[in-house]
Amino acid sequence: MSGAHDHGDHSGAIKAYLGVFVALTLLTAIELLPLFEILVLPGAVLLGMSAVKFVVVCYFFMHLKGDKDINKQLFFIPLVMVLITFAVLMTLFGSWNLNYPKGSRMTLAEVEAVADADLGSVCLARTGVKDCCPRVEGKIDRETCALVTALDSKEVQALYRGVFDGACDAWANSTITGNEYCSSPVKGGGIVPHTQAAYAAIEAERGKVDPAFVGFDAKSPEEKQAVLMAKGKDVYAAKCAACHQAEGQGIPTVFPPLANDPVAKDPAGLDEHITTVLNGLNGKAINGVAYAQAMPAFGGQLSNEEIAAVITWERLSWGNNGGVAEPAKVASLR
Amino acid sequence: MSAASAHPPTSMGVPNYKLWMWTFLGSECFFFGSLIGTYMSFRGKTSSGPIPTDVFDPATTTLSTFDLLASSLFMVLAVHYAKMGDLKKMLAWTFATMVGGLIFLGFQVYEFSHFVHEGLGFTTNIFASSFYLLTGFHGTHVAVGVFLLGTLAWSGARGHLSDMGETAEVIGLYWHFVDIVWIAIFTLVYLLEYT
Repeated sequence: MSGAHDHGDHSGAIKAYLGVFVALTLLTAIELLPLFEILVLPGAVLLGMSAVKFVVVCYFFMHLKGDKDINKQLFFIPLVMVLITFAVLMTLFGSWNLNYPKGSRMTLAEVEAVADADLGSVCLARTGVKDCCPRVEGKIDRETCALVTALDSKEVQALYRGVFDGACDAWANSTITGNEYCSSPVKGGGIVPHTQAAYAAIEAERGKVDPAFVGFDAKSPEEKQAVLMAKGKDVYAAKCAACHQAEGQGIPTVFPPLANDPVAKDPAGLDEHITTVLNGLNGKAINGVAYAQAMPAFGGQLSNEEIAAVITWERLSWGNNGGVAEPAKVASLR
Repeated sequence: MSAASAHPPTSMGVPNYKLWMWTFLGSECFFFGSLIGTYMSFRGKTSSGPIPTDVFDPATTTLSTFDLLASSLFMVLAVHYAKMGDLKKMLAWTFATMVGGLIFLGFQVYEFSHFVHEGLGFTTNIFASSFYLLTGFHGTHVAVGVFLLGTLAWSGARGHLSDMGETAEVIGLYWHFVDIVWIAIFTLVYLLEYT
């Protein structure tokens, strides 16, 4: 093969490669139109264009065009086997509707006629999602279930996904029953009503929220303070005591004390205290002393609850009387 | 293969390395066919989020797709000049192909970390597992391709290749295969979400 091309052939081959490349680029550009919502193309058209690109690369870049039959066979026989196997399986199991099925709505009577144990598969057939029926305290909400059966799987998934991206709130007072629904913490447990308390419990279950803070907002001021102080003591020991020392006394000229600190000892300093912990501090003179050492930002390391807790601990310890910091306040200053 | 002759006759009439590569690519069809088939069977069956459209970033996918497509052109030019015996141009296009591969890998690292940030871990749901396995294995293939191109450039530059054209062609086959797998992934995994 080496040196077999003469010069006319040479520039011709390069031109051919460039032509193939331009064609592939144009096809890809057309395929991208739906991605940017410029044009809607049916899935079949996209699959067709993809197949054309596939074959073009095989034939012109991999030189299968005019290649020995053995090479074509080695490649295309497995490829065709894969395609046939997939097609046969999908056909046998009637699963061809890859594009998110959408069932017609069931009547309440129809849903009532289905046993609890069978509702999961009824859901799957109707919507493409197993166990799409919401449960309220473990009991299936059949009225909502009937309405959910009219949705396609994208819509059903919109019900489920909220715990991850906050979409629950966007879905609040949905088109279905006016109830708010969110993903169940129990695998396969269906959807549970989404209230603030239920949401916190779900988050706690997933390890995102400290169990001590579940139902925090409903607690009395004294209970809140107790929760914050208990948590804050631990956070202080873990994150702050190395510099500010166990009794908040700091190290003279190196790390500022927190005991009797103008920001920490007085309720007026709360906002500054929170922003300092969130964002860090550098170069501020405290009680007339400048500290060379900068304080790191903890906003990325600690949750709102942890920051509120440690700040509360600092503001109510060592003779300080700066009052309680609530997680919501920290969240608002983030 | 003896160094004295670039093309000892084979009973198939096809150079052994090339036959080896096509056989391997045939097995790769089964491999990626299984991964893609699994992904497609799970499509739309995820009962908890995030779902694909929650995390997909069209701009990233667009850039990495064009990047890989361009690298395919660079590859075919590298093979062309290798066959012409033009070492300089072969090296230049081989490096360009490698850069394309590395950029693609960079986009994948960015994409994966973005997905994880969105709460999509490897075992978060069946979409996540099948997606990460499929695209992860594809990314691994790109990385192997970059390595193979590096060995091609290294051996080529040092004059260690008994038949530069054939070596480049065989590595080129692998690279283009990785590209066509992406053509399939790009449509089946990404584009179909936007129909």
